[in-house]
Amino acid sequence: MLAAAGASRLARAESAPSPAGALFAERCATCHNLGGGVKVGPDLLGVVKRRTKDWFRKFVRGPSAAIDAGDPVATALFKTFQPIRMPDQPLTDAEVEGVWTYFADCTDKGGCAPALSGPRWGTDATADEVARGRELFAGQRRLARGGAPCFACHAVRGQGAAEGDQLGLMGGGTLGPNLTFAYARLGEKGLTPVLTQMSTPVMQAVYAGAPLEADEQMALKGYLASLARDGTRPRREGDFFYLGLEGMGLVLGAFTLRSRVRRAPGTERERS
Amino acid sequence: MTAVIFTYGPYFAFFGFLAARLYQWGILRDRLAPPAPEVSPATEAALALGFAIVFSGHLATAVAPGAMRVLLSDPDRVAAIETIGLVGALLFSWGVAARLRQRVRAWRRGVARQAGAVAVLAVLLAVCLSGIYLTVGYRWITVWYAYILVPYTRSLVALEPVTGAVVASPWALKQHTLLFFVLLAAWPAAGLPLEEIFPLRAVARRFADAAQPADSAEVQP
Repeated sequence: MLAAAGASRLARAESAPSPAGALFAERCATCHNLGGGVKVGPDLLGVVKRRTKDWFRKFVRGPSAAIDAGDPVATALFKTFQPIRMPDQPLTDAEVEGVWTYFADCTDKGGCAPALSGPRWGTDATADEVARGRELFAGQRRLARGGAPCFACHAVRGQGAAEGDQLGLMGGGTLGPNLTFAYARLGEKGLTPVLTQMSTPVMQAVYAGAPLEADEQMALKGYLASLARDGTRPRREGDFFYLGLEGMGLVLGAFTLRSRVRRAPGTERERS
Repeated sequence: MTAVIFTYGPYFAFFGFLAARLYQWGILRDRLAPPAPEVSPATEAALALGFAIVFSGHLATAVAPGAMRVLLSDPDRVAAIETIGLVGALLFSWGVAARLRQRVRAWRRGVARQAGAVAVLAVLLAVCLSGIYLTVGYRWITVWYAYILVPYTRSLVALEPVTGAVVASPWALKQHTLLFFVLLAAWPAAGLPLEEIFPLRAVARRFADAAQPADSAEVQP
């Protein structure tokens, strides 16, 4: 994976991207490879041979509609890659033409690396950065400017150290959404402004005096990208309300027992 | 509108509290609500312990947010603290509900000056229940309390209210906060002693009685 990431960066540096290549890099490459294997979604190498252009145009503009309408290919893809539903991509006819041609070229070449130049993506993060992102998320490493750790409001897949998420026995918070598939849903383009500008009102207020440093953003994007790459559905977070009820029952029971024991001779006298 | 409420509401509540307190000291000193009817020893202990847990948790974070943020930087620690806090809140709610029930009964029997106590205890119970709802529904509230409500509270004390985070937060948190300010303003007007919800002396007295040897208890008149 690291080698692939390195290769993709090299490819980007070597050639300026075509408009369709840039579009693919910007909108699709978060979840799809072209010859690099299955990612969050299927590898699109050879898609021009497997599907028709009309089907692709219809599907890419409304994948959920196609699934809900019972399109057999769309349904099969959803079953394979669930629970992720590909977001709608409102491409123009010209953009669909361009991307289709780009897919055909890549199929002829045997594959293409994402062709975006500029800032690194979360999918390019090194293993160290991913590990650092996990620590930042879980609060084990403090954010440089003192912002709240992500786990206070967000959960990610799984619970417990056995699954490597390091979010403890009870998992993360539920004030904000579960971020297991945030990178797949928002993509690089959607997630970057969330981390740089804190685009939700609560985050803007909480991080007003403590924005994330650039390296922290990269580490968190890397961690979220690594989570999204594994399509396993997140487990339900532990419900600790019953734990609280049990605790209350125990304490009340202990108090009641204690007061009954005390009530032996002295309290009987008090009653009379 | 919400920002205006959160900017000025707390000051109205505080001045309401002060005014009621002064009024009570000067004029109504002898018109406090009658002593609370008895509740079971276990409920009394639940009130004392629950109040201690809930109050100390809120106060510690408000007074030393930096230290609390460090303490709350580990998910397992947060889960443990939240569970203890939830147990405390449930115990306290249990005790407040018992006190409220007794006050309502007294009110129905026609005992004087119970209406204010019933109203204030009802608001307190609503504060407790909204806190429990927040704890369970929007976890981990202990952590984001330190990042949302504490800066807001401290800005109120500094007379420069910063309402952004509170205004943007879930309605349940706004409700919990506003209910607390209503409680703050209404508490002295009801004339309830702190002992009503924090019966430390009663609990201590029971412990002292229990610690007394049986022989010495029997010779007492």
